[in-house]
Amino acid sequence: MSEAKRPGGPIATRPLHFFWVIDCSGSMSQDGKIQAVNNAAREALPHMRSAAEENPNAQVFIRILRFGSTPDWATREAEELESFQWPSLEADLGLTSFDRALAELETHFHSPPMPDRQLPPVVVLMSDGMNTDPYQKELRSFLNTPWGGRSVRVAIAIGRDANRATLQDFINNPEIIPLEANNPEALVRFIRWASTEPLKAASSGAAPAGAQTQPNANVVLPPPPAATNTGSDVW
Amino acid sequence: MKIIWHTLAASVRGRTHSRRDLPNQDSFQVYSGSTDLAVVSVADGHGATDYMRSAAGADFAAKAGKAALIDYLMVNAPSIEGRHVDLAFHRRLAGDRLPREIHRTWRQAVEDHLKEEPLTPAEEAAAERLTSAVSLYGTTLLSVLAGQDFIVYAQIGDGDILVVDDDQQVRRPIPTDPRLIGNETTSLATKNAWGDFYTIIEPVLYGPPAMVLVATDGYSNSFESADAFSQAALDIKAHLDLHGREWVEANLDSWLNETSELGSGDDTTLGLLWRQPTAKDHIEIHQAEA
Repeated sequence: MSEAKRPGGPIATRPLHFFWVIDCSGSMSQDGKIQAVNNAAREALPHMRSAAEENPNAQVFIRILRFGSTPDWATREAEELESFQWPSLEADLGLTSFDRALAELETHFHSPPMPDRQLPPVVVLMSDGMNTDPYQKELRSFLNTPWGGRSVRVAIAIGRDANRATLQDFINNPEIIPLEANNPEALVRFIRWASTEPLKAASSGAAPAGAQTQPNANVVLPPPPAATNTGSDVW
Repeated sequence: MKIIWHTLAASVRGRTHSRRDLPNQDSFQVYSGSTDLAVVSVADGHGATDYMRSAAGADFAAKAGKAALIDYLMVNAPSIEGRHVDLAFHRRLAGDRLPREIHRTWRQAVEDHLKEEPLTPAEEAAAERLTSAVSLYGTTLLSVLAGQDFIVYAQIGDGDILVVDDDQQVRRPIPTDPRLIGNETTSLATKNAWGDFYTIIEPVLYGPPAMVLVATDGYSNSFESADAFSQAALDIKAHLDLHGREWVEANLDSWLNETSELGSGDDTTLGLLWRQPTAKDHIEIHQAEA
């Protein structure tokens, strides 16, 4: 050991796992919705990287879970944000089984595989429709995992037919409501917010567990951008 | 044979707070004025945005921990040669009394501060979100007292206490709290915080620790693994043996800065308690006698 070498073994930044959970059921192929998601996500990526650079001690990893009749990972494994390229998602997964998506998501929120020293994971859920099967049991199971209940969860309702109650259940925090995107411009705005602010919030400091009245209050999010009425709602 | 304890501590502001122009929200206190005992007390003010007075809270906590431990020992267990120490009695008494005394002292300091420094409008809004003004001062606390008969470890919230024994084994005297995942921590600011303390008393008669490391979580969160963190304790002990106190003290700030900068980015505070004579002291004694 050289004279003044820092004590201890290897040092590392803290992982932050960012999950996109995207409805890829058949209805998302209508009116350009899935293309709008792909375009908005690609446009948001540079901003996401900037947000990550402001928090250099968090190493951000991205995963995308598509869901429809069955869940399907669009990313084979967690990819580092620096080199991540958004894939061209397609809406070809049939109906909307949110329960199966939650069950699949849950498998990744135990410790292991989640590392103990990571920052709270972020989950952004996007959907345009209704769940075709009950999901409450799977949602409770997900929220009861060590990292599921502690994750930062936001949701974007794509179009007026999206089931806001389901999205609100997923968020499980009355202080945060689903963002409503009824046109591509709003989707761009909300995806940009959802890809940056939860990441910054999850990288912020510690807070007492359960001290506040709201669940998931260990991470506080700033308010999202206002939904402006452009008069051109498409969905 | 009398045990001579030594202490050393340092604290650095993390890059995350530097970038946001926030102060270091950690604090520490050490005591080794008497050769009978030594105390290290470190605290980590909560870093989430609403905890606007957590730096002050950490300062009050470190002081409350140090004072309560010293008072407890002086009143209940002064070291008297030949006197039997009832460890079971102290485990019961200290386990109940110390957390309550620390919490009471801390709350009093917070309330006095609130009277001297009323809340600003922004702080009032934060206090409403957190449900109380006291919450603004939220902090963890880790305090260790090493005496002639026993060692007391007291902890609320995240952070780490590692013991290095003479046989180079590293262990945790306080079990890991399963509630502390991600950025969540227990806190002195909660109403019945004394119930969230872990208080452990160990005898020193047979096998006192060679060194105790007390750190806020910015330190352990910087290491890739638990083993990498344990290695830090072993390396520091080796440095104390080989180079002595002054050399370690001269390098401690730069070690903490490097660790935090490349690792967690968090404020990082490290306190050390170790037993004399160290191996270096033995060498110096023998050289002086030669």
